[in-house]
Amino acid sequence: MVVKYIVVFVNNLRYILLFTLIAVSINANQLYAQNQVSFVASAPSAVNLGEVFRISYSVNQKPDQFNGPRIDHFQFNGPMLSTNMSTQIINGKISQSSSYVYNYTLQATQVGVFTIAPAEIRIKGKTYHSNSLKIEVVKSQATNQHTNRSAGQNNPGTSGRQIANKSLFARVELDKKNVFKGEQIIATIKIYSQVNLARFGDIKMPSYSGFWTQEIPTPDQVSLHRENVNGVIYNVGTIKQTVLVPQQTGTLTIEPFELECYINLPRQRPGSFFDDFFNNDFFGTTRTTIKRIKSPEVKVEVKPLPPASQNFNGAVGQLFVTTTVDHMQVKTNDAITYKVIVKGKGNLKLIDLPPIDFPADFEVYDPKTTNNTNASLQGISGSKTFEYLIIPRHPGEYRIPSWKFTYFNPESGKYINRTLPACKITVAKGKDENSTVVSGNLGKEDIRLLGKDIRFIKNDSSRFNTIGKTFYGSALFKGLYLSILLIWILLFVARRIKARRMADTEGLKFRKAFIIAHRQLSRLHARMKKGDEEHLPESLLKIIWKYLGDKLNLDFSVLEPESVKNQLTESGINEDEVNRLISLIEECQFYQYAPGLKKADYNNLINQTNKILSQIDRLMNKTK
Amino acid sequence: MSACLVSISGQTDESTHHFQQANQYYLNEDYQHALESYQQILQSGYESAELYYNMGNAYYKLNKIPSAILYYEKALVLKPNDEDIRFNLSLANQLTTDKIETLPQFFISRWYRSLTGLLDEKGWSWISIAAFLLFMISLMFLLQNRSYRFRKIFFTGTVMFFIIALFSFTSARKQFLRRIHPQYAIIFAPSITTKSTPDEGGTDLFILHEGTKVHIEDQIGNWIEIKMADGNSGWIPEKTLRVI
Repeated sequence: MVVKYIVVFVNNLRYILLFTLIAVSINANQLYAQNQVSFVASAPSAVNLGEVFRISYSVNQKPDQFNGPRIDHFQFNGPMLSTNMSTQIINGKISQSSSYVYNYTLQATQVGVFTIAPAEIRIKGKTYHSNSLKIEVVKSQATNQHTNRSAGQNNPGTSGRQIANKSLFARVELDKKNVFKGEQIIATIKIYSQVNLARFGDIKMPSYSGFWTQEIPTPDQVSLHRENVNGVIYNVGTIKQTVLVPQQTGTLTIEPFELECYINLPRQRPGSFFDDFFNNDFFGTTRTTIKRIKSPEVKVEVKPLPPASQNFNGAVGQLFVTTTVDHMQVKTNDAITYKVIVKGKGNLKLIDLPPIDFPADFEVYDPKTTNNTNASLQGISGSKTFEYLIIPRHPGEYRIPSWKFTYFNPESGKYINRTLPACKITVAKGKDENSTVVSGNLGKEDIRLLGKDIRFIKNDSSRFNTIGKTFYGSALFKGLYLSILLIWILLFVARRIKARRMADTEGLKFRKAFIIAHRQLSRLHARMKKGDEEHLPESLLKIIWKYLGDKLNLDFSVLEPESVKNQLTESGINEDEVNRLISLIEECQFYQYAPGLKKADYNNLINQTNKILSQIDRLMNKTK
Repeated sequence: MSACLVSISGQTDESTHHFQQANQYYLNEDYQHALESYQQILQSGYESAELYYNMGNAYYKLNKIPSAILYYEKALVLKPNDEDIRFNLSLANQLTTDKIETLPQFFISRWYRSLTGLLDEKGWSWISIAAFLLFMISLMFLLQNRSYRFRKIFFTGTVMFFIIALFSFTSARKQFLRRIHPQYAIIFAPSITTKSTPDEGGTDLFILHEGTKVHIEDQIGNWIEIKMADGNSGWIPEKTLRVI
C-alpha cells in the first residue's frame, strides 16, 4: 500500500519539482518586486581598439558592499561610486528614488569579443548579481572617435569643416536585388555616423521610379544603435522603410537619397586645461557644421515573368482566393452580391480579377473593391475584396461557371492556379415581370399595338376537321386526279380510232371515185339513149364534181374551177390534163345555160368526160 | 354509307356543343373552364382554326403567353390569311422577351411564301385538281385541231394551265407538310441557353426565353437543333419547347 504511494510520488517527482521551481521563482520575483532592487550593468557593445570607454553598474538601493567583476583583456580604472538622490512630489504623492552607480573606465587592448562577468552587490544581507556584458573590440581605421568627457582627448584628423565620407554616409539597403516583376522588395534607408549628429535638415527621398511603393510605418524619432561595418563601428539609424514592387523589367536604378546633416564639432584650438574643460556641449562652445550626404545608386535586376496563361492578371505573391454568394434563390430583379476575397502576401493593391462569366441574362455592375492591406517588414499583406452586384432580369435556372485565379509565386518561380467553384442560382418569377418586358426595343409597328386588347373569339363551328386528316393525299384527292387522267385517255383513244376510221372512209372514197363516176356516166348514157336529155350538162357536172370531191376529199358543194385547178396541180397532175378538165367543165357550164345541144354532142361529151376522168384517175392513183 | 355519314355528323355535333359551351365560359370570363371544354374537342380528335384561335385567346387572358402564341400559330396553319389570328398573334408576340430581328429575305422567296400562305392545303388541292382538268382539256384540243390559229391559242392555254396546276400542287403539298410534319416550335422554358453541341457541356451560345418561335432543323436523342429568324442556330433539350 505504502509502496504504491511511494511509486506514485517518485513517478510524479519531476512534475512536483517543476512546480516548486516555478513557485519559488515567482516568489523570488515577487521578492525583487517588493524590494524593487534593480542592479543593471551597461556598456557599449562595440569599441575600437585603443578606445577609452566606460562601463557602469547601477543599483537603486544603498548597497552594503560591492564586488566588481573580474575584467580581463582591458586596462581599467575604478570602480568610482557616484550617487544620486531625488524626491518627486506629483499630485500630492511623494516618491523618492536613489541611484548608486559604480563606474569603470576601460581601454581596449586586444581585438576580439569579450565577456565581463556579472558584478555582485549586497543589500541588507541579500546578494544580488548584475547582468554580464559582451563587448566587441574592433581594429579600426577610422580616425574620428567619440570625444571622451572624462579623458578630454582631442580628436586628431578633424580638419576644419571637412568630415570624411567614411565617417558619415547613408545607404539604401534592399533585401533582394534580383527579383521578378511584381515581386516585393523591402528598401531601408540607413545613415551611418561616427560623428556627433545634432539634427537633420533637408531630406530628399529617392523617387523609386519604375516601382509601385508603399511606406512601412517607422517611428519618427531616429534612434541610433551601434553596428560593426567591415570592422568599423558606426552609429546606425534607420530613416525610412518602404515596400517596392517593380512594374518594369530590366535594370532599374534607385536614385540616391540625400540628407542634410548638422554635426557638432569640438573647437580646434591647441588648448590648455581650461579650454578643454570648456570645449564641450555643456558650455556650448562647439561648432556646428553641415554636411550633405548622398547614398550611392542601387541597381535592381527585374526579371520578366515567364509566359503566362490567359487569365493571369498580374498578381504576384502567395495568395488565397475565396468566393461567397449571399443568395442562391431569388426572384427576378432581386440583387445578389457575389464577393471575391483575395488574401495573403503580395502586390494586393495592384491585383485585378479576370472577367467573370456571369450568365448573359444578368445585369452586372462594376465591382466595388475594398483594400485591407498593411505594409510591414515582411512586405504587403492583408486582403482585397471585390464585390459584384448582379441582378437577374428573367426567371430560370442559371449557373455562374467555375473560374480560375492565377498568380505567380516568385519564391517557387511558378504560376499557381486557384479554382473557384461554380454556383447555381434559381430565379423565380417576380411580380410585375411583364412591365419590364414591354419597355424593351419597340419599333414603330409595335408602338401602334401598345395598349390594345385581343380581338374577340370566333363562333363558327362548321369547320371542324379530324385532326391529322387532310384533303391533300386523301383518297378523294387521288381519285379525282386519276379519274381525270383516265377519262382523258379514253377520249383520246376514242378520237384516234375515229380518226382512223375517217381516214379509211376517205381511202374508200378515193378508190371508188372513178368506179362510181363511170357507173354514173353509163347510167346517164342509157338515159340519154332512152330519150331523157333533160339536164344533161348539169348531171355531167354533178358527176365531175362528185368525182373530184371524193378523189380530193373535199366537200364538192364548194368546188370551183380555180380551187380545183390548184388542188389538182398540187396533187401532181400535169397542166395539160388539168386544162382539159377545166375546159370540159366550162363547156358543160356553157351548155347548162345554152340549150341546143344535139344528141351526137351529148354522146361526145359523155365519152370525153369518161376519158378525161379515167386519165386523171390513173395519174392520181399513181401519185397517191 | 349513310350510317357512316350519320356518325360523322353526330361527332361534329358533339364538338359543336362543346365549342359553344366553351365560348359561353369565355364570355363569363371563366377562362380555365373554357380551356377544359376546348381541350375536350381536341381529345375527341377534332380541330379547326376557330378552335385554336379561341384557345389562344383564353390562354392570353390567363396571361400564359407561350401557350397563347402556340395556339395562334396552330390556328394560322389552318387559316393562314385570317386577320384576327394575325392581329392577336402580333399582340402576344409583344409580350415575349426576345425580339428577334428577322433576316432580310430575297424578295422572290418572300412573295412565294405569302402566295402559298393565301390558302390552306384544301384550297390549293382543289385548285390543282381544277387546273389539271383544264390542262387536260386544253391538251386534247391542241392535239385535235389542225388549224394553225387554234393551235396557237390552245398551246398557250395548255402551258398556262400546266404551270398553275404544278404551282397549286406544290403549294398544297407545302401546307400539308406544315400540318402533318410541324417544322416550327415555341419555347416554353422561361429561359434556356442554347449550346453549340447536343450536350450539356457544350459551349453556351445565346439565351432564349419563353414564347419565342424557332424552326426545327434536326434531332439527336433528346436534343433538338433549332434555328431562329435571325439565322442563329443551336441545340436545346427537347422538353423546353412544344411543336406547332
